[in-house]
Amino acid sequence: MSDSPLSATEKHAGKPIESLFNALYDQLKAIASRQLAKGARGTLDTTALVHELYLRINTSREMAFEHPAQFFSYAARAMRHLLIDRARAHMRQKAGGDWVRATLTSSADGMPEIASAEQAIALDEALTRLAETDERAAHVVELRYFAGLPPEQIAELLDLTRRTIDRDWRFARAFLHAALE
Amino acid sequence: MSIPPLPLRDLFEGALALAPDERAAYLQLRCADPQQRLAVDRMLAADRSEDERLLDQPFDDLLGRVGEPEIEAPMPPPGTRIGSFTLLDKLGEGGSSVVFRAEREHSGAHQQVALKLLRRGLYAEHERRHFRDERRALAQLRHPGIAHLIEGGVTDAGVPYIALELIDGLPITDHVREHALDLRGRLLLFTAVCYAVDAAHRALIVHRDLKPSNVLVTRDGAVKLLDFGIAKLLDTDGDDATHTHSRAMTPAYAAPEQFNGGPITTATDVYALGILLGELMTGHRRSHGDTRTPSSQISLDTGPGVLPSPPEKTRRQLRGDLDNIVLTATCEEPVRRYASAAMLAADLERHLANQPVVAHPPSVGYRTRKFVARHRGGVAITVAFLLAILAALAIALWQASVARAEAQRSASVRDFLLRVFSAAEPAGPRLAPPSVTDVVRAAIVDANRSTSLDSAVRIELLSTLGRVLGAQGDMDGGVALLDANWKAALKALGPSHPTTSMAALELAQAQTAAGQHGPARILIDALLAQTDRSRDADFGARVLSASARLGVERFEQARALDESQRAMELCEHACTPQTRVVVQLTRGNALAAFQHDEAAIPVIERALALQRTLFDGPHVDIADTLQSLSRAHRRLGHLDAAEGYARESLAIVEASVPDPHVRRTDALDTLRQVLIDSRSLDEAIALGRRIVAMDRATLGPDHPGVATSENTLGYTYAMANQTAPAIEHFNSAIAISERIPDNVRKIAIYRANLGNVVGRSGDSVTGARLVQSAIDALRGLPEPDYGQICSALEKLGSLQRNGGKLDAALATFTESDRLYREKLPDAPKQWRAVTLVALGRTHIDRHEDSDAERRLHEALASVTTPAGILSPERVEARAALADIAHRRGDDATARDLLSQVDRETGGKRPALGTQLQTYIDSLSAAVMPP
Repeated sequence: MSDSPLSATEKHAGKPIESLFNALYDQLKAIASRQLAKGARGTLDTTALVHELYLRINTSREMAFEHPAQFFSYAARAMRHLLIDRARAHMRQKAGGDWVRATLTSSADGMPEIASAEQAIALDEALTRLAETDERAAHVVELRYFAGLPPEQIAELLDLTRRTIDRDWRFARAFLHAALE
Repeated sequence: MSIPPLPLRDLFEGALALAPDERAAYLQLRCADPQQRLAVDRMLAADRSEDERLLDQPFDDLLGRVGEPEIEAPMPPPGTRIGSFTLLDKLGEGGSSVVFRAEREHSGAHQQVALKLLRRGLYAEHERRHFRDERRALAQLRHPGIAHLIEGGVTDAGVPYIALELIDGLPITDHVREHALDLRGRLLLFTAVCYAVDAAHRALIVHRDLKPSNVLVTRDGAVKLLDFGIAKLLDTDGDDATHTHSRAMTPAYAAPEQFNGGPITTATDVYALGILLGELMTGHRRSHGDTRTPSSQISLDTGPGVLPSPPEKTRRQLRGDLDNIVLTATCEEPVRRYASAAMLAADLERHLANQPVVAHPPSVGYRTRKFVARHRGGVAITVAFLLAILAALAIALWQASVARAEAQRSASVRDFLLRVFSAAEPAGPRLAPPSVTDVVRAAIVDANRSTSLDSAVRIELLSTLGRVLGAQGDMDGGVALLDANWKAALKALGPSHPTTSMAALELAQAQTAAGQHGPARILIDALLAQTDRSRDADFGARVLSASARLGVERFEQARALDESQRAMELCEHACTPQTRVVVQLTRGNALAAFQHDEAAIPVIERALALQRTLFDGPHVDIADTLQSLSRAHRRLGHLDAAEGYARESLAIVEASVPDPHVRRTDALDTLRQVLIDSRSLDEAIALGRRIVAMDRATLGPDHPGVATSENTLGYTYAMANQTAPAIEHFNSAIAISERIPDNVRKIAIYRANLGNVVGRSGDSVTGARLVQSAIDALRGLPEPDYGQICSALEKLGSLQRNGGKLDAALATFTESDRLYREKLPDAPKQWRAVTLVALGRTHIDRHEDSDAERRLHEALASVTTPAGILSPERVEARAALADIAHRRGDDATARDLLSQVDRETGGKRPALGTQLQTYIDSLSAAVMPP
């Protein structure tokens, strides 16, 4: 998991960034597992997830985000964490490391969970490499793919033009897809 | 990978800018490194590809495919120690947990328990807190028919566990089959189940997942219920009060509300009991939405032992009463089921004793359903409340026969009744009570008529009903009932009986709420003298709180603060959580009432936290507390926090009470005040209009409350410089008030507001005349209200000053200042600041700069708003001082003062009103830059 800094979020003066992120991540995991438990497996609606998270954070007052951009950066990062945590847990289960046997059920389109877990981990690693090459493009991927924000909103949040966001995305998409082949 | 960062993107975008057939040449030229060339080529290929790839699909897809791992926290194998237990063999495995037999040394003996390890780790602190709270509640649940929760906790690895009494028994369905019990035997066994469930309900715990495997019968034939409340314990998303539905349930026995997200109540368990009863009698588990009678579903080829008798005979036995009982228990709408498990059991017992049962035959049910459908809202809640009251009476009767006059026990009648009422409230707008008062009145008649009620129990019930009446807005009705009830208690039980004291306290509280402060004070003082001698700390704390609340109403500052503090101290060790909430809220509200908002907030926040653990979901009482918090924050200028609390409160109220309802008005009004302070006037006006409409609907057109809300709406319009609607609503407030007798004071206040806005809109003569007539009326009152007189004088003086009548204005403000000093020495210092600033500015107009300076400095000294929070008086005083400095040529001082003004107003200039804003702007323009 990359630890590349998000420049927009580092200015936060109050709570240490670490604890803010951890709190957000805890919330996210709780909401996500509830969503998963409610519906069938694999029908997680991440956009709803981010929205619910935003509402919670906004009303909890325990976690203060100075700017929506900061929140969405964190939420996207938390989503990425969630994906990788799950993928790693599956990999561990595959290796037989855990107490409870792994249930390698097939999902709807027939792709075994383990293959998806491997793909998720590969994506995460490629994204970390992309951040070394072009940090902003990687950030755009986080906001668009993981947090589900439309490009217009990303442009607004990062105070960039829509065209710049589109260019970042095209470059990042090609980079990542090439890396995942 | 060691690709130099910039070139890769440059190469990629450079190639993209070219036609596909030119790219190879471009890259040949610009990219020497073969590895990098490969990377760019692959990226270009990926970019060109028409296929939908990973990043083109929603993230949900990938996350969903990866899925949730079975287990987050690694679980220990048998043999490990969990808490004080050692795991032995595995007993079973469910969807959410694994159950082990475990043992420990306990008081020198081996104790074996069923130890449940939850599959799901508790991620967040709030989840762990919820788990702990629930576990504590469950540990207190002791009943011979319920497997006891022995211990629970979270292991170091984050795995939650619970140790339950280990029961050796068979699921009830297997038991009746194995012993081939006849119908009577089955029904008796089942009533024992009902009473165990009911005991838990009275401890305010709902099972949520009743099914045969949780209802065991031991070898001695005793019923033991497993996993009481565990479903809730597992539903760890406890902080999210709006999600009342539970994940942990078993679909076949789950009530409709568990599927559609409705509130989980005791009726949820009644539903499951109904399904179970049907299964015990017919061997067939009813499916959802099935309205056929159980008897009609008995098939002739049912295997031996399954049915209580041969099929034909069982059909005959079930037809009628037992069919109706199952249908009633499994009604689709929770409110139409039995109101308690005990009522279900009682109906079965009536059937066994050949008495008529309460359950309706389907034809009546059908007619009722039709009627309910026609009058949805009114009837549904009436039915709910009638059932609730019947339940309360049934329990009261039971209590009366089992445990006479035992204060502890009868308190549980009261609590249960209150619980039933409050549980009915959050059921959503559709089920809300327009005619609760009628139902309560009917219950009062019932309670008075019932001859079997023990007098102490009757008095407790009537006290509770009186309180409900008051809470529904019928203050006078509540007082009348409680007064009669207290006198009855005096006569029947004597003055020193605890029930009499309680009735007196209820009466005093109702009197306080109804504005009868004198009688309330006499009664409370008597109670205080009495409780000084008693050792009941809980009751003592409640009396002290009631006294402090009355003190707030009567402006008895020292008393209110002292008594609320003493109640807190008394409560430190001995009080129930309910009393603790009351005491904390009283303390917080007393502090807030006397301008100690900063100290009030943490106290109210504690009460809020406690309330959130007491109520299972959103509750109107929580909404009230949120409003207190909003007001305190608003007065401190924390407008964001104030708005947050006000909106949360409104959301709860809107989900809990019908439209219109007084509770909604309170919540709307709290939010409106915040919006006025933050000058979000458009929304404040919109809310004001809703409030007026709601007041008209709930209070009637000619009610003083409607006049007040019309006046506030007019005031909001005036702030927004919308003169015409402001005049319209002030006039409406006056017209309403004129139809109410003895209302001179209110009419005068509204007329002063009207005069002010008329005057400022250009007609200063009419405006001044209206304000003057208001002042005359206020002065003519037997007890003149000097605060309002001063406020009206300030309006009059401003109109005079704006009209250029400086002598008259000076005289008017001087008079206001005199009244503040002579008649209102105890009023907050800040009140006078308005007059002092106005005096200062009038002196400036008259070119009496030294008088002006003196007054303005006095004004600054009397402003108590802390620095950092906008005070319009302070801003205006500084601006006026800058004006004076500028006039004597001291622009440096003027600049300094104006920059202080800028700092104070920050980005909030509009909050000042146009006039003052223009004044500051023109000064800023006039003062020369350095």
